[in-house]
Amino acid sequence: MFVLQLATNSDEIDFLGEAFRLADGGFELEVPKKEQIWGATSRFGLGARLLDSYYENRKITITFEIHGFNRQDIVDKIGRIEAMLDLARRHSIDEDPDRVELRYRWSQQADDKQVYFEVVDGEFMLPSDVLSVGNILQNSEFMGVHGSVLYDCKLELTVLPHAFGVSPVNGSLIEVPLSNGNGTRVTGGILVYSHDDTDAQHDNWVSISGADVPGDAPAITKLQVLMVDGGSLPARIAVGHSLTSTPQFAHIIEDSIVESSAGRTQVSNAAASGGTYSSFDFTSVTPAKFATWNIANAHVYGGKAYRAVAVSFLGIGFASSMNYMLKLTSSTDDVFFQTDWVSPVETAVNYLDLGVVVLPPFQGKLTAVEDIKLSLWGFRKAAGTTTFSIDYIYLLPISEGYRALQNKLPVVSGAWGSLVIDDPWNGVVYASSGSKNLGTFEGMFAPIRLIPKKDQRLYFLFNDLYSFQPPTFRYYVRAWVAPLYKTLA
Amino acid sequence: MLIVSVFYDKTEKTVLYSTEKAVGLKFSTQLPGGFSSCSFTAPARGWEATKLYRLFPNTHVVVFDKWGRRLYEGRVEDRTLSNEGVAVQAEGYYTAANDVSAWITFPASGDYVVGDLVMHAVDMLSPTFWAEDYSFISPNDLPLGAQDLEFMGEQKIVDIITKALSYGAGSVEMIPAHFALWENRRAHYFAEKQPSSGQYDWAVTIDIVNSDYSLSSSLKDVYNKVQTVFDHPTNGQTWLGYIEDKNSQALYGVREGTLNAGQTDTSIAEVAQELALKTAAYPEQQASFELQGKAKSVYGYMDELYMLRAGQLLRVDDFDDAGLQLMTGTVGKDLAIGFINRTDYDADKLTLSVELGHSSMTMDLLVARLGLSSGGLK
Repeated sequence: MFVLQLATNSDEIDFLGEAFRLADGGFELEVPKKEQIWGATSRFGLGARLLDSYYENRKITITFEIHGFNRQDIVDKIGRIEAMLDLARRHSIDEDPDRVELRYRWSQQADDKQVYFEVVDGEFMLPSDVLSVGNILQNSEFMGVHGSVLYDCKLELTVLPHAFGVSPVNGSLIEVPLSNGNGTRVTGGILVYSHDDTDAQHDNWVSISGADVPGDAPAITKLQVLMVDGGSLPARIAVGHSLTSTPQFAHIIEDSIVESSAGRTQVSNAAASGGTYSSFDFTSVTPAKFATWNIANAHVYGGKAYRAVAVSFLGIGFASSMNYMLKLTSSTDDVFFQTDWVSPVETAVNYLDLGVVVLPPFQGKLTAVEDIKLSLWGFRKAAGTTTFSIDYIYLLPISEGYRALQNKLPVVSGAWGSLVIDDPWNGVVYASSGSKNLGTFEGMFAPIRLIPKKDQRLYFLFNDLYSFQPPTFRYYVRAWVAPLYKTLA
Repeated sequence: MLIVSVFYDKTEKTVLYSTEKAVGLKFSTQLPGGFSSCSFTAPARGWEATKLYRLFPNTHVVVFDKWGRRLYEGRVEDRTLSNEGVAVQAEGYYTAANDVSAWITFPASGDYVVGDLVMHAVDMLSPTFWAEDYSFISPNDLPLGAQDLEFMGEQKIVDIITKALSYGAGSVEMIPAHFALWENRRAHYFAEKQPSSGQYDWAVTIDIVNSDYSLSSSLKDVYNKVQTVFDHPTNGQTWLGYIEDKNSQALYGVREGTLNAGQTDTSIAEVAQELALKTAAYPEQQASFELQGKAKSVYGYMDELYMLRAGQLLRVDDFDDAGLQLMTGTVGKDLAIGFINRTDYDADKLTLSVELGHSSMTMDLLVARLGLSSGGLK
C-alpha cells in the first residue's frame, strides 16, 4: 500500500486522498548529503584523513492539488498545512514536545516497511497566479459533489537525514530483548547486579544481539533502570557500550587475584564481589606500587577504551589524603600506559574514577600479545597512613559510547522514586515512582545508540559516591530503540 | 563530539546544565595558568534562554569528551543573551590569582626558598578557588636573594607566582619553571621539560600540519662574544675579557655584547658571563601552527588533538627540511620536539592551534638569581 501523509498529534493530511492529490511525478525525495571534515592537506602529506562525517538534513518536495467544497474550504486546508509547519518550527527551535512527521511507504509489497521522516521546517508555496479567480474556482469533482480545486501547490519539507522506523508523533519504541546470566532474550526487564563475579547470575551487563536491533544506522535508544532492593536512587548511573569480543572481555578484576601487593589484608565477606575485599594501609609519600594484577589475552581488547574505576567496600572509600594512579606495563615493567594522578576532590569516595585507559596493542592487528600487568600506585600528600579498601577494579568498556545519568540534586531521596529513565527519543531524563515523574536527573555525554547487525553489550556502574551501596543491590534494566533508516524500503 | 557541563559549584555534585550542542565551542590552555579561556553559545530561545542566562553567573564549567575525559574547567565570567542563545565566556581558575592579595614577609636571615612562595600562593587561594593540594608542587629550594627583601608586604597572588617563576628551576642548569592549574583545580609547579632529552608526550605527522604556520626568530638579542663589567667590592670597576661561541659566530656572524653585572664579586661575575653567553648565543624562536587530524601518544595509541595542552612536549615526525623549520627546540637549534606554550582548540573545525617555544626567560632567571643590580646584556 502506498502511504504519503503529513501528520501531527491532532491532524493528518493524506496526499493520496480526495482533498490533497499528489501530482503526477510530484514527489521528490532527496538522498541525504554527506558532510565531511577532513584533516589538514599540507604539501608534506599523502592526502587528507577523514576526521568526521555526518549527514545533512534532507529536502522533500511534494507537488499536489488541493480540492474542496468551495474556496473557503481550500483556504482552510492551506491553513492546516501552515499550522503543521509552524509546529515543526516550534519543535526545532523551542523544543516544543509536539512533533510533525511525514509518513512514507512507496510499495505494494506486504513486507515493506512504512517509515517516518521528522519534519523540522518547511515552506508551502502557492502557484504564482493564485490570485486569479479562475485558478482557485476551477470546477472539480470533490466528495461526489461539484467543488473547487487549487492546482500546482508545492510543499518543500526539511526533514532529518534518517527516516525513523517508528512514529515520532505517537509511535511506541521497539523493546530490545536483553540477555545475561539471568535470562536470554528477556523483555520487560532483566535483572542486573551492581557487581559481576563468578556467580552466574551476578552480571552487571546485558548483551544484545545485532539481529534484534533494526535499521541501518545506530538507533536512538531509551534505557530504563528500576531499583529492586529499595533504598535511595544511585547518585549516578554510568553506562558503557561496546561490541562483543571473542573471548569476552573480563571487565572485572577481583581483588583476590592480585599477583603482588603491599600493605594489603584480604578480608572474606559474603556480600563482597567474589566473596572477598582487600583492605590497604598506605604510608608512602613518594610514588609506590601497592597492587598488581595480570591481564591475559590482551590483544582481544587492544586499542579499545575503558573507564577504570576502583570500587571500595563497606564504605571504606578512597580518601583525599593521597593520590592514585593506574599503570599498564609488561612483565619487565616497560610502561604501556599510565593515567594521570587522581585524588578525590574533598571527601573520600566509594568509587575512584581513575580515568580512561586504552589497552595495548594500540594500533593495527596483533595477536599472541604478551600478558599485561595492571598496577595501582599511590603517594600520600603528607606523612601518615591512608586506609582504603578495594573490592574490585572495573574496566568499564566505553569504546562505542559512554553515558552518565547524574542526579541534579545533592541529596538523593528514596521518596523520589525507584526508576530512572533515559529517554532521548523524547529528550528527557527523569526519575519516577511509577505514578509520578520528577526531572531530577541530567543526562551527561551522548545517549547510547545501539548498533544494528552487531552483537554488543551495555555495562552498568551504579555509583553512589558518598553513601555505600552494597554490590548485592539489583536493578531491572530495559531498553527500547527507534530504528533509523538511510536506505528506504 | 564534546560535552559542556555547567555545575552549581566546584564540587560538581549538582549539574545544572549539560549539552553536546554547544555552538562555537573553543577552549585554550597556556602557561602560566593551565586551563585558560573557554567560549561557547548554549542554543536556546525565549524563557529557556533567560533561564540559562540567570543560571550561569559564576558557575563551574567543565568540557568533557565523549569518554568523559576532562578537557577544560573554569568558571563563567561573562554571558550574553541574544536571539541565538546564551554566549558564555569562562576563564580558568588561575584568574583568581589576579583578584586576591596576600601579605608577604621575609625574615632578615633570608632563608626563604622559592618553593615557599608557591606554597604560600596556593595556601592563600585554597580551598576557595584552588584545591588545597600540594602534591604537584615540585620542591624548589633555591634561596631567595637579599634583593628580594624589597618584595614584601601586600602582593597580588599572581605577582607572587611570577616572582617564583622568575627564578626558574634547577640549581645548576637554568631551566624555566611553570605554574598551572589542571584537573580539579590542582596546582602544578614544575620544571620545563627539556626537548633535548628526546622525550615527548605527543607526536604528530607533518601531514596534519595545516599549511598556514609561522616561525619567527630575531637576531636582535643574539650575542656570541661577551665581555663583562662589574663593580668589585674593593677594586671598583672591573672588566672580564671576551668569551665566545664559535658555532654561533659561524651561523650568525660575530655579535659582540657587554654584560653589566652590577655590584658583585669576580666569581659570580664569571658565572654570570658564562650563563649570559649560553643564553644569548642563539636566537629564540617562536613557532605557531594549526593541526587538524590525530596525535599519537607517547604510549603509541592515536588520540584527539584536544588532549594536547600547554606544558607538554610535541614531536613532529616525517618532516622534511621545511617541516623541520616549524619546530623550535633548545635555544636556537631546530629540533623536531618542541615545548607547548599554548593551545587553542576549535571544536567546530576540529583544529588545534599550537604555540611552541621557550618562554625566553633564561635571562630573567639570571637577573633574578644573581640579583644583578643593573644587570643586562647590551
